[in-house]
Amino acid sequence: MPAISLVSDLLRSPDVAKVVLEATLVTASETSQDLQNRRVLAVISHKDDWDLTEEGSLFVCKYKNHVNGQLDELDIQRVFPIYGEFSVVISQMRRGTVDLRPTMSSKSVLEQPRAVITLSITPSEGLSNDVQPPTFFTYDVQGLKSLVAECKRMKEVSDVEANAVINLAQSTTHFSWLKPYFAKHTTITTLASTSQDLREINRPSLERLSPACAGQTGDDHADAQAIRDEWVRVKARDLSRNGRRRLTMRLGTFNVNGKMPSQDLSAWVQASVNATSRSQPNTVTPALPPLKKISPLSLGNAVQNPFNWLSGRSKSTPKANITQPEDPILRVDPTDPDDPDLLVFGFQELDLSTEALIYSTGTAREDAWCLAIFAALGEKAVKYEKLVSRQLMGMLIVIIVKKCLKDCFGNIRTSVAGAGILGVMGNKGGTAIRLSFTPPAHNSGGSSKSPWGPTSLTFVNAHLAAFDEMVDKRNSDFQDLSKRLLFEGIPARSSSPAPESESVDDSMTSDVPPTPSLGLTPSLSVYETDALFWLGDLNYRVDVSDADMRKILRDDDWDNAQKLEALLRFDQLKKAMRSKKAFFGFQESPITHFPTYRFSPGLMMDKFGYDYKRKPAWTDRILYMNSPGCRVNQLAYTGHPQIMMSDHRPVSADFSVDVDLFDPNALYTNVRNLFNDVERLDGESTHEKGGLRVVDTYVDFEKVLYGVPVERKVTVKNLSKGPCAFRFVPVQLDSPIHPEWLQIHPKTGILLPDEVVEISMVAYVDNAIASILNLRPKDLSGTLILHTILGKDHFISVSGEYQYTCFANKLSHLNRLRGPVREMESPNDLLPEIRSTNAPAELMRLLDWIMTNKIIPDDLFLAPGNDTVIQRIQECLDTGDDFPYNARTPASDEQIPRSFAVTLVRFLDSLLDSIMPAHLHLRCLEMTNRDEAFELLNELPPSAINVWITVTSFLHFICKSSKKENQAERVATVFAPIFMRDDPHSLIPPISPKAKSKFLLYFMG
Amino acid sequence: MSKQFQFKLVLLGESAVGKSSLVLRFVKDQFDDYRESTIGAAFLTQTVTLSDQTTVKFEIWDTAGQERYKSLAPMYYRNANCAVVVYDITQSASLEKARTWIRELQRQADPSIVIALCGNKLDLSARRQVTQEEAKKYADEEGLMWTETSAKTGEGVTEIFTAIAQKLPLTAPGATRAGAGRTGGPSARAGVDLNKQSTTPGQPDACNC
Repeated sequence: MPAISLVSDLLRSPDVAKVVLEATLVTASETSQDLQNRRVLAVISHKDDWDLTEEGSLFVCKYKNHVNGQLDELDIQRVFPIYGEFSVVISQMRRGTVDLRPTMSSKSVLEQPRAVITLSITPSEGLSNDVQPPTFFTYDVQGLKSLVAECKRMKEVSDVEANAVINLAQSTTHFSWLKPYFAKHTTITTLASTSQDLREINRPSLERLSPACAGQTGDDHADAQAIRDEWVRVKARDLSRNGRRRLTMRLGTFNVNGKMPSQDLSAWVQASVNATSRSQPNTVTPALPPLKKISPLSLGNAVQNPFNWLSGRSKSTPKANITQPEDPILRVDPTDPDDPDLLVFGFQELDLSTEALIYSTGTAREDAWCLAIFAALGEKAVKYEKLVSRQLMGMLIVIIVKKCLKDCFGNIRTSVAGAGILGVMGNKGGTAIRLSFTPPAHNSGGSSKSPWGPTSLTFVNAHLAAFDEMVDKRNSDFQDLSKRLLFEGIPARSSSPAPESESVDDSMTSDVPPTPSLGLTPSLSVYETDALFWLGDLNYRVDVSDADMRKILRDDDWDNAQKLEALLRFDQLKKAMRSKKAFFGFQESPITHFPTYRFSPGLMMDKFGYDYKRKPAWTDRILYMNSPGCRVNQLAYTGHPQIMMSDHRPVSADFSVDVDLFDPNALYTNVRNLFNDVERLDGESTHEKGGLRVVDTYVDFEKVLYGVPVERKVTVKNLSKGPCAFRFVPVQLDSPIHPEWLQIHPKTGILLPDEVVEISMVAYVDNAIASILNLRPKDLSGTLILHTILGKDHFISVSGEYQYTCFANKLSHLNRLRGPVREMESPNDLLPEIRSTNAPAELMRLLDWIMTNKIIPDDLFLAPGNDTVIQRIQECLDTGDDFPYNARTPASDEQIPRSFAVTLVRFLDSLLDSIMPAHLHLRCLEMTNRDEAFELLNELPPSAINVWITVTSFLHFICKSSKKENQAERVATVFAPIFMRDDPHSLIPPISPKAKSKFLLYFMG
Repeated sequence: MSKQFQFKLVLLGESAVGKSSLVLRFVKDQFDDYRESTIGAAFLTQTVTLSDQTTVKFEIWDTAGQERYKSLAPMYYRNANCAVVVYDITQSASLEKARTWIRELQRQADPSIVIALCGNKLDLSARRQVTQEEAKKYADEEGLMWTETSAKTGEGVTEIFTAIAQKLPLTAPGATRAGAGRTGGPSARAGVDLNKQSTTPGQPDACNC
């Protein structure tokens, strides 16, 4: 077959091959006409079928490994868009011998000139000095002339600004038609490498796709690739995984304020937890309870994620779900599971002297601190050794590993970037280390080479801009560092060794590996790793006044956990993460330690030692981000106030990292095979019989009840002969793809021929959704659009009838019901305002039942109830049915009154309006006696006053009848945060829980 | 120099009048006796070359005829340059439905939309319930294009799409890259001859004189 038709087979409409030339690659060693070096060069023209502009590109194609000597398939090896610095240079190359073998061209041997012509290609982004341009030689002088002429013409038509470097991966206008070509070529290698950009890989799959909606297709070709890449990556990884190994590490950050070590660091250096077990109370600072307690208010796990809820209705807390009881994960160092395998310490302000800003002051300080670290390790020090460190001015990062695991760490790269004065000086900035960890072979003899592939770990130690008001600078410092901290790339072959036979995807020349950027060896960003840990003095402050900060820290009215929770709501770093201004996508464990800044050695300090001149803040932080394949679990996050040599206190965190055991060759093979399965994804025609077939186009959820998840499955089958990709699209560009009461999974995917997927659809109404649905008509019908990539939109009708509930409703609404809430026809089916009742009937029914029942357990309101009973009570409140529990015949089971109590608490908590509005909370603090407190109630809306009085007097009665002392105080702690709900968006710090209780006790006590 | 234009075309009409069959005949020149009803919307393209070497690329949205999905139809006809409203000549009720669609288009769609009324299943004219006179009269009153077709035999199919292509204003501002995710009204992109005199629909095209 002539080369031109082989090239044409590769092209997509409307692209055409203008000139095709057979040539041979000139390799560094020897020019030979070895088949491996034969190439087909082709100038491809793409005419936009709309505006008629033309763009050109030079393709370098290679014959596919062939059977029976048949050369009938080409692979695109490289793609050179013709613009910018692109050029082709012809020169003569003297050859010692005349090649007598017949060539593809029809010219006879005698016509071969002794001097052959070579062609060198300069890519559009230019060449760096040390890289030779790819060079080819050919005998086809005529063909070469046409090729050069065509390249020249294309260069002239390129309307792209001369020398402009366009990021082809992002440009949507220039050369976007090339994406399918070069992506096809590079993905096998890139997909088999482990380090995808964490930000990209952690984005929900739908967000990675182009915007599209009904009647407006997005960029289906790009979407097909994105879906395909994810599918291949996840599936290949799953197929190649032979279990996991657990690596444990301790990370620490310490701004030492120019001091030398003068105190024992063991609290900071030695992991205080047994990393194999779950987090244990830490012995150094008073152990604080986890911030999210299991309260009777929680609706259980279903609130977190209905899919989890359905898959395992366990009683465990959400956190416990992470470590599913799969095969036990072995430690990478089973001989010594108690000590961390890796220690990573970041220092800031190591040296504050002026000369340190100007030139390197040697390693004296680093040595001193490392010595102190090893001293702090005590007898364990012999097990460890320093692996690598990197310093930039005052910032130092040190990595210490267990000696027995030293060989497991490799590909060590370091990077520094300044962000201080003039944006480059090193008084602020970051130092970073990347290394790969290869789990040791099963038989830990140590000698045998590990068969496993590496996992890439990255650690950044940063010192960001100081001062309260410099939060924008901190955010931009972070953005800047995350761009400028780059690591030299590791050649693809060493990280994922391809078997010898896989030369098809090998780079054309040994010194230019194929890369997505069409050219040179890239630098990898901090995000292109499996797990990224970012620690340091990030300098983020707390946006509350200095006085409030100190008052709350000191206030005995708060539990420590409550104090921290209240203050951390105003933490600038948390805010930056929420607003995506910095550290977006990172995770940080809940902070359970006091602010680590700023301590004063002298007299100018408050009771905790905080400097009066600086507002205390959590400046020293440890955050992380990981790929789904590399599970990171944080075991501890601790401040160390007893290490007092600096104005900061050090912070430490313990992590376990579960890395995949995968055979890189198997991964590569799996990726290649899977990729081949779905390669023709964008070639199919779905309008023919075939394509995707949605079996259930009508899904009825029937009655959708508050708090009760209902799952339906929709079967989708691929009837076509090729693979099909799908995604859900919204009806309108700015609308969600499904109604808020519904969750669907998966939202994107690929089906191989005859493959079937069950799409799970869960209708679930929690408080947030009920608060919306309670104000809407009952009819929940809607249409979901499942779009086949490059094919049809399939409609899936969903319907359901929402069952109105008294939960998550408005007080003013409940007071105007005609009967049970369930019997409402529409949300406006209410009594006129004038006929509204004093308090909701549902509330009165609950109080009545508890009052009538003679059994009042001492832990009423304090103990959880029974979920089934609670659900039954809720249902009776909504329907108006009698409770199936007779209050007059005392139930032997104390669970029933407890469940009533819990239902009451949940009912009040779910009310849309806070009974005591947040703006009155400070006034509540000022009340000194019962009369004043009652006076304040006049500020409330009448309906709220009634609820307040009714419930508090009921609680008064209940507590009075308890034999236990201080029962009212205990019950008040449950009701105070409900009656006096905080406004999470308020800029004013909340008042203390004790102060709320105190106010409530004027009524209950 | 040849000119290329791209238009968004939407097919509307009652269920089972043969919308998908018309498209299949037009795009692939095929016919299927037993097509399943469309639940959703299919997107296809086909290019028509006019006598003056102008090519018109239709981006066709073939929508579901079922009443249940009526609320989604506006998503598919928004920004459409032309609509083919199909009825079945053997079902007089389907013409009624076509009238409703046309009323809706006149009210909701782009005011410059070109609407063609198309009586399908001409091969079954023995069972005709809708006379040509009735349909034509209605089309004339509303200023619509009208024809009868048979997706089964192919009669009239290419003709109706070609007629639409000829009627479309082959100058800015009618031409648009519809369906390619661009919101907002029709717009022309650089490269199109914007200087050519605008011809309004209905007027005889200058080239045809």
